[in-house]
Amino acid sequence: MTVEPGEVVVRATDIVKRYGDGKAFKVAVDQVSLEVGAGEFLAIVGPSGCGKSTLLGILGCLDQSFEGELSLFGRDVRAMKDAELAGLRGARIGFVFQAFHLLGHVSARENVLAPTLFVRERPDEAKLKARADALLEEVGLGGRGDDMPSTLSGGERQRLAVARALLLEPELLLCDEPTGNLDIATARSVTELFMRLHEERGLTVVAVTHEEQLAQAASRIIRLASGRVVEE
Amino acid sequence: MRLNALGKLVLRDLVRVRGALVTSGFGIMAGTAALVFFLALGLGVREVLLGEVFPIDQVELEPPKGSSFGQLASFALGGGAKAPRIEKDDIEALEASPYVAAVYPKLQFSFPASARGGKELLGKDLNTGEMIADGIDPALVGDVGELPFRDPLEACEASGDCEACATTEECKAPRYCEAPQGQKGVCVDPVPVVVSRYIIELFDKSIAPAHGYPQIGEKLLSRAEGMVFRMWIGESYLGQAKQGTPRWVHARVVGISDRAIDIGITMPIQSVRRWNVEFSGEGAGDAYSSVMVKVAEKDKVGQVVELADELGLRPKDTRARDVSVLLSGVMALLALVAGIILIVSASNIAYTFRVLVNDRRREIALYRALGATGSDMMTWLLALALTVGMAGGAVGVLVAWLLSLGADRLGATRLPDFPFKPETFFAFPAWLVLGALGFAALFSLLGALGPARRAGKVDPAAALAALQ
Repeated sequence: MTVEPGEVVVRATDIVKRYGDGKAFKVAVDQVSLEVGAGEFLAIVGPSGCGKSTLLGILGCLDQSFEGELSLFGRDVRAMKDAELAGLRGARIGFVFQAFHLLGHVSARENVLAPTLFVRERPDEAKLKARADALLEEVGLGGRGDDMPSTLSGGERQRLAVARALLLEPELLLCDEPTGNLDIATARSVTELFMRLHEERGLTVVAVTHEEQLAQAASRIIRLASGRVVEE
Repeated sequence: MRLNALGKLVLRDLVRVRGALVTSGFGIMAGTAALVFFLALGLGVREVLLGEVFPIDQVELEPPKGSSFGQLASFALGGGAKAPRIEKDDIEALEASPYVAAVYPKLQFSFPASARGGKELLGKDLNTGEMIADGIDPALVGDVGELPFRDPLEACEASGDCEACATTEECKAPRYCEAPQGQKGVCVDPVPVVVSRYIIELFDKSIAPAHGYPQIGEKLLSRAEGMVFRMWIGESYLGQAKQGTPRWVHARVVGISDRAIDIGITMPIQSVRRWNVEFSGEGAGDAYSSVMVKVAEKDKVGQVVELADELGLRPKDTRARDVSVLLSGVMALLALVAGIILIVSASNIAYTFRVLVNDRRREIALYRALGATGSDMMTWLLALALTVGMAGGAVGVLVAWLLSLGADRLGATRLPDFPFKPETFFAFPAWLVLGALGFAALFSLLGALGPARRAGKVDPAAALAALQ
């Protein structure tokens, strides 16, 4: 089930996210509606604390406690059970985080292969290992498959995280401040990597960032302030 | 989650957090070792006590003893004090029970007797002033050695090779002339008798050392022809039978049998019936003193005793039941101690896994983002706990077995000989080992259940955002 060009991949309507309850609550995302079409590169920008990452968590089905409507690939995520959501995340969505979130106790190659742990059908392991090595090559980490994450630089770690996100060939890549922990030069090279992946693979990308460089690489920008869309 | 993926995660954890897991596994190991050791000890001792000392697959029933007042009144009125007997109907009722495999009535000597013999084994003859004997169906005893356990007169009549005689001197030793004093009879083999292990143990461990006699247990078991001795029937040091003339008969110990009475000798019921009639009259031939009931299954003894109660019979010996109850109590107590150790171990596992889950919130959240369900995370933690529990349990069983070997060795070398001293004090049936592993797994899972549920409920968005 692959997404067709022009098809709406993400449709969010009046999304509201509150933290806390009673009088002591805070609205992190306030009445946000957006659509992301197939093959689009959307950047969600805004100052720290404006609700960008919270919105991305909701779009990635990591957070289910929100108000409003959300459909991914034409399916209403509110109606999906945990196993279906997990399957959706594993098979069709790739995540890249600011803090990389690599597994420190296994090699770079095993990090790339981590998503296969939760694939329901038995995968072709030899094929996946070859694909993991090819992805490492593609992100500039060729020959580093046996290295431990602790031996990699910040930029290399983020490239490794990107390779991991791409292993199962997702249709939607969600990036949460992917260049936030990188120096300017490294951030540029990672941005170029995203642009290349978007262009060459036709990957749908939603990136939350406060880095103008990455935002400028996107085909569309949404600006958030205090949880609301202020510019589109 | 696929099994090989689960195995991969668990294997990684066994390496990553081996220190904490070994500590948790040690508690489970200690608890399992204690549980297995104590239960194996209890089962081993129970096997010796109930299998050899107080066999529980048979129960001997007897009529209730009459009151002293009733017997005295009957005697004063000239009726004589007749011992209560078991009726034929009662025996048939017992035979009809589904819980009963076989019924063997017993006849006691209804006359006094004494015995002399044993020189061939002990170097000199021993005298017993009073001989206690029971007659029992030979089928109950079965084969105990090379010599048959069968009434010699019946055997002689069956073979047709009966040599007439008037006195024992006319018969070739060790045969004797079987006939009431002064009457014509036939030369027969000595009456076969079986004895209990209890009396042999008693002799070997208590009487023989005190009097300087050799132990006879092994000799009796290994010799084809057992010890022949003479019995003086119809009279003992305490008195004489009310009818008949006392006379010598020959008897031969043919083996040891669980069916033999503890103290005394046991012989074919036909011999006892004949002598009872000779010395006590016709009625004494079927005045069954007790009935040995072979239970269909060991755990059905209770039902047999209930049936006997309805028939007005009661178990002659409640030691087996008492010992069984006592042992069950002791085993339950020791198992409780082991259970407490396992509970403490489970709480230790709970703590370890709680820390593990707290430390792994980010990793768990990442796995959720990569496609894991909440129940995948729960399964992961429980599988890890199960592995720790099973490993701890297996080592615990091994430790218990090694401890039992050590205890047996100490018992063999340090404990003095005593009746029924076993080669091992322990029994390790398969169900005990499997049960112990099951308990180890169960307590580990119980300990890890809470933390595993928490792992399944980790909010991935919050956990990942908190560490940005």
